Amino acid sequence: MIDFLLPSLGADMDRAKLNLWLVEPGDTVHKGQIIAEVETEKAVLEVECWDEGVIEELLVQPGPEWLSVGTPIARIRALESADTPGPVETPRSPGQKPLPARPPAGRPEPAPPIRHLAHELDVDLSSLQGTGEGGTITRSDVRAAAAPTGKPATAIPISGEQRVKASPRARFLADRLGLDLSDVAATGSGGMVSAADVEAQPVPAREPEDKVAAMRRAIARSMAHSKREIPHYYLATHIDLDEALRWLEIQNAERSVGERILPAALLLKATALGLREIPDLNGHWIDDSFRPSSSIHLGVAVSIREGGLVAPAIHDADQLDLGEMMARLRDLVNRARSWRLRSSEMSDPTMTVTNLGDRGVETAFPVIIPPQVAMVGLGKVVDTVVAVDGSPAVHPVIHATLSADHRVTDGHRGGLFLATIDRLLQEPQSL
Amino acid sequence: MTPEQARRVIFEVLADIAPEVDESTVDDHHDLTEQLDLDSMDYLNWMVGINEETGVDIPQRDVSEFLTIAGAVAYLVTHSPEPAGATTGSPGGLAAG
Repeated sequence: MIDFLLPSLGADMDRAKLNLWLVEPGDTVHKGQIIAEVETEKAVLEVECWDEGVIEELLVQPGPEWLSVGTPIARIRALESADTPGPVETPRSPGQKPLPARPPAGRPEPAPPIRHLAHELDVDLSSLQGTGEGGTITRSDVRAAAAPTGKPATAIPISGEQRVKASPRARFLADRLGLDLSDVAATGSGGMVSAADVEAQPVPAREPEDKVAAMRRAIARSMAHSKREIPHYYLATHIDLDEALRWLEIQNAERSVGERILPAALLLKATALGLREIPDLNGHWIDDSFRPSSSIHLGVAVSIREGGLVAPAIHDADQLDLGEMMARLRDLVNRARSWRLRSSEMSDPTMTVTNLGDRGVETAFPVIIPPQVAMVGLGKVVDTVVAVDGSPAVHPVIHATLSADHRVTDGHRGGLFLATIDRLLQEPQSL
Repeated sequence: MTPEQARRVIFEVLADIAPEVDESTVDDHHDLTEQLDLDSMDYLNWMVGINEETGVDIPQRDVSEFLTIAGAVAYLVTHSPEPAGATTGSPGGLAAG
């Protein structure tokens, strides 16, 4: 029997509330499966299971109490691997909620916003026939499936309260007005709460739960810790992106809009490969010593529209090709912005990148996220006069900065790292 | 697709990306990313959403048409497939498209 513990949820995050179970006793679970949803002060996170087995007992019920990281929350009976040579199929109990499934192989994968909408509306994507181009599942398909005249409802609440079906805007408005969505009379198709329903609701039923304020407190703790403890040094360099952006434009000309690669993916890949060459910027400072990481889990700073910031990880970023990097980045940003990150993504970035170029900033001076030991800042791409073979030319140029922990590295290593990123970006086809 | 239909799709997709946006306050002719504080990922997601909902492809060279709401509406009206039964309506078959 294995006790499944509330996992680590990121630096300075040592407690969480259990919002929802996605499994029940008797369910077979596998590695990487999302089994619960928890809420920290910083984000709503999906908890992944790291064991194979059958859920024996749920030790904690959803509720407002804070649970410490490491608290046993479920008991899992390990499967005898010798007895189970193939994938194990256990009969589904009548009330069992289907897993958030992807459509069968051979069909195009729905875009992250569609998967998010399906999750919000409790629609099982694997049961849908897409009407979009090439069988793609569209928003309309998901909304139609949520309606009673469409597919039968696939989700049955198994424990905790049922997630109310609501459009993202309705959820946003309810949050802002401090309304509980379950108190709002739904007039939308399939009992979905629409924005108009929320606006029609007269009096706020409770104090708004201020996710943003909680996130600010978490950022305050982490950043104050960083500035108090970490002796930062800062380096900056200009990187000519003429070659890289020209190459990317050619690549994108042949790609459909959904497969298009943003320059950010290229910059992240170059950074990840740079860490392979200069590994002493990749890891954590714990108990007065540097612990290098053998994997490169690149944190990406994502701003939240309502205010605040999270920096979840793209796992094994150095091993992804550009298309995969873009898909992962897009998925991560979308889930971060809809407060749906996974526990592992918050707990294990080994170095983080902040890209403020989109906001018009030319140069960023990042504050390292403890216990990491470095952070890269990327500014906006600016057309700049540069000398090419002794003559002036106008090229797109980006300002790349490095903040690094002087306890671990010196300026010389940091400088080599920025020079490596520069070199890699001059050969974009090798990224 | 009529301009009204195009507009409805455009704002429906936008509401998933920037739920706080109030349609009545958006200036149709002003740069959308600047006006609504969209970053490049939001902007890409918006175009992907529009493509999925309407089937209209938005090649890289036409991305600049989507800088404003007015531009996006005009593009969708021009590039959306003709509805069934409407293809014979235009004398001489010179319907835009």
